[in-house]
Amino acid sequence: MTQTLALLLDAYRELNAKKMFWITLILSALVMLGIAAAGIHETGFSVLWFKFDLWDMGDMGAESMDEIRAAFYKEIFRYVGVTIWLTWAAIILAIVSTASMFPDLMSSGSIDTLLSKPISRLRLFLTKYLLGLGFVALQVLVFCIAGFFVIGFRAGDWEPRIFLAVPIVLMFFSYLYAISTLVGVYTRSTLAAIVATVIVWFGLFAINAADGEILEAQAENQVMLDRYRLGLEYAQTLDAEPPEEGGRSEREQFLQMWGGDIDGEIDALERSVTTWENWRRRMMWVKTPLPKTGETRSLLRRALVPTEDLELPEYDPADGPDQAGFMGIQTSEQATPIMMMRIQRDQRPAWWIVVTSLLFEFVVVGLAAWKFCRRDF
Amino acid sequence: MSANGLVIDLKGVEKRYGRKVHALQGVDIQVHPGEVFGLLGPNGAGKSTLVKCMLTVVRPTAATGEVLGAPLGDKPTLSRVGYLPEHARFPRHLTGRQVVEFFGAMAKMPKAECKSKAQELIDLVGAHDYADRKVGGYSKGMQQRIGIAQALVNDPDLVVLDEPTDGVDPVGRRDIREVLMAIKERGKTVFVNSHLLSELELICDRVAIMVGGKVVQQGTIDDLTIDEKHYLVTLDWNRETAAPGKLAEALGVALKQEAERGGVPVLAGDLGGVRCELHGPKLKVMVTDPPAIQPVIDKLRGAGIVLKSVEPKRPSLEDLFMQAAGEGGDH
Repeated sequence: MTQTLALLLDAYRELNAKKMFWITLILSALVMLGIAAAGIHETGFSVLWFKFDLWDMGDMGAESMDEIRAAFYKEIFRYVGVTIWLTWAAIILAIVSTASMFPDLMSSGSIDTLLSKPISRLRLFLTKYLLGLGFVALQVLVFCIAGFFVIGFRAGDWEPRIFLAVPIVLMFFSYLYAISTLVGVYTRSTLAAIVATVIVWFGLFAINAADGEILEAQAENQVMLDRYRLGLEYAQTLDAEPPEEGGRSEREQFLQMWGGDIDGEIDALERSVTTWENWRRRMMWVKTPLPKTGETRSLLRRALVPTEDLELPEYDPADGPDQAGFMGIQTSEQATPIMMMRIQRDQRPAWWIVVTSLLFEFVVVGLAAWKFCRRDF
Repeated sequence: MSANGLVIDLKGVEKRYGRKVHALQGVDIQVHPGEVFGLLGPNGAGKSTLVKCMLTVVRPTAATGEVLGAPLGDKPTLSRVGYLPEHARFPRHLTGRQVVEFFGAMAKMPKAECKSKAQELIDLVGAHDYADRKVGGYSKGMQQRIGIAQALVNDPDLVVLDEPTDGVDPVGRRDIREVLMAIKERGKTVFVNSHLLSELELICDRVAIMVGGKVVQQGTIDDLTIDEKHYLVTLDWNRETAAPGKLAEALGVALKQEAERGGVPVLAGDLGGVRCELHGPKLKVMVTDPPAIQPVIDKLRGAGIVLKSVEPKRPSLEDLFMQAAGEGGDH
């Protein structure tokens, strides 16, 4: 215990000397102040005492407004606080400030004295590794405590689930920290550790983006397929007889609105859905052994806004297939594929995300530990 | 202590780096309790590697033996060992005092004891003026003093110092030497690794000379130099006025030129049954006892040669080292 406390104190002094710990904490405080300064009301947003009237919700009643306010703060905490700040900007600062931990430890003349003490190499390695994680956990915990009080005081919603951000952000960081540690142990270079970590992070981001594109394309085609099938069913209910006064029957007019050949469209969409489904399966093979940064981050959203709470907009086949604009969500109908994509993504079990990602981290950290324990200094 | 009463008893220590580098080639080292033991050798001889093998910094390819009575590599035993590595670098964000306390804690010392011991050692190594400043601003000499303090903080039975006077000015070297003598007086065993031979000569009880990954000589300096002890007779002899052959003629001996050093011929031969070498005006008489030199002095004076001085001599550690290094290099 004496040794662990000494290493803890040393790690704190090291981070303290680099100022990065305090810089990150101050920036976190500023982000939280920004969140606290924002507000929502019946006619728009407010920042401090400045009001921006953007809509008119009418008289919502105090209860509904409180619900909206709570949802607003939770979403802003999740998106600005966690997604943008904690799992993006603050992670970069954390990577930079922790990347030197192992290269510095292992520099010639520095490691010799430590290894000559009665502490096993594995324990020394793991203690250092966990201390790096511990300081990030501390940062996130402080941020979450502040977030808890901001949401509580500003929206009257004392939401304990926001503390899930601590393990989630820590897990997110730990995947990258494992890479940084492995490269740091092998190369003893801080710069190499940072560069390799950023490259891997970028690679994971690219894979995640490709996965998103595949899911979106699949969802888009699935939505259209469902609509065409509904359209076909609806068409069967319409009168196929042409009106006595001449012209097209109701069914013909309806089918015309759908492009004429619904059966052909359904065949094409079924093939397309199958193709994208195959790509989705391939992507799952690629993703399974890798850390899932995007999905890990989304665990907080899944906890705060569960998929069950999502309400898919109602669809009436009489309105036609509405193929326009899947990319921007201007209408509730256009939002459907995006929501479907999210539902599909959220169907991936949390245990799969956590276990496979931690398995990757375990292997990477294991390799780093093995190298640290075996190498001569 | 090992069963045979040794603090360090290493046998057959081997270290290979890949297939090409054979850094240690079966090293045997024995260090007795309470002695200052010096490990000498040229750069690349394997001194630091051997020390690192003892302290688990480097994993030996093969080795048997004990350190403080425990098998080589036994981690708990290291709480009784203090170590200052070569080119020691301490965390720049710590003060000298924090460095000493940190390594005390790493040696499992209780906090209060660690603090008081740190103060005592800071005073001992003369670092009190800068002990509360960050190590990042220290000179090499300051770092070495703090390094020695951290090596002693756990009150070790064995202190291993790798080039402790490296980069230290002459005053600092003298101070460090005094610290080492103080440690020795406390009954601790000191293992010093250095190539500063004059330093070691002043403090070491026993030495080992390593060349090319092997120990080529080991023992007390007296033991190692016994064969090379001699008397040096300085003659009032002027090369300008008399040729070296004239001395042989005067003494009635045949001196033959055997070598040349610094442009001066070395003449050697027997004088009264004793081997002598003439290096210019200096006559090296290969005897160790005062009675044995007397017949030679009588002969010289009988030949009318004036003697300026007669001194008993033994080779310096440097001579020994150079000789061993030469022989080792020939292997």
